[in-house]
Amino acid sequence: MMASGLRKFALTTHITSSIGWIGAVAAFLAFAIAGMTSPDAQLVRAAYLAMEMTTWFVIVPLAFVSLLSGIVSSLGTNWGLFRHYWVLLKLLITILATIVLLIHTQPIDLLAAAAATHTIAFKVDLQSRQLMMVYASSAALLALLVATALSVYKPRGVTPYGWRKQHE
Amino acid sequence: MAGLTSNPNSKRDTGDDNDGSPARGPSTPRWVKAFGIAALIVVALFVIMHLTGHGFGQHVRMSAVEHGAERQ
Repeated sequence: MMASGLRKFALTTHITSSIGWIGAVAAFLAFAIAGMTSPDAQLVRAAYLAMEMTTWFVIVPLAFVSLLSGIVSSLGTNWGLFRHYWVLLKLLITILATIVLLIHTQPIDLLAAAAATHTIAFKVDLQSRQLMMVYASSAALLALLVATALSVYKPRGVTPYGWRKQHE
Repeated sequence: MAGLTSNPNSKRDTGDDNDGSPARGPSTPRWVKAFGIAALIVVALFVIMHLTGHGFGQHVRMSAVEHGAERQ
């Protein structure tokens, strides 16, 4: 078990990074919608450049800090990482969201690179991808909100591993 | 994970679905099963969208207008 001070530090880090991650994804979604719908080419360029900056300097670091601090927090308390379904599901959501985020950094980089050198007018062949950017960030936002709700409501349910640990 | 503040050993948080026999342990709560089904659907949709070319894992092509002159 962690000392009280260390536990509170890990928990503060985890809450701050997780909520910051949600805010950054919400900002990303706003940029994605602006990039898809705005008729202003300068605004579209700015949106895709901002999306890249936000991704690499805010979203990706916060995702890893949230994941690591969550693991430390759970392992350092009686909750454990695999004992309660809500903790386990939060872990899976965080890992999945981080993997999906990393997969989608490549097209974000490509869009930003083009935006840095050209005044972009997106044509029909890109519209599905622009739409996908909106869908992906919306899905990420929903997943992170579900993870937050899980930590607030803490729905009941112990895993078979947690049950064995309780009865040891 | 976030919000690990209350005591997991309290009656409220220890998983009161512990209705299984001592040998078998608790059954999986209904909300976990529903959650799993929803997650499977979302993952399947994600994979299908990528396989059918609507994802953005593919090569991104773009048309650009540079300095006001259209370039394909």
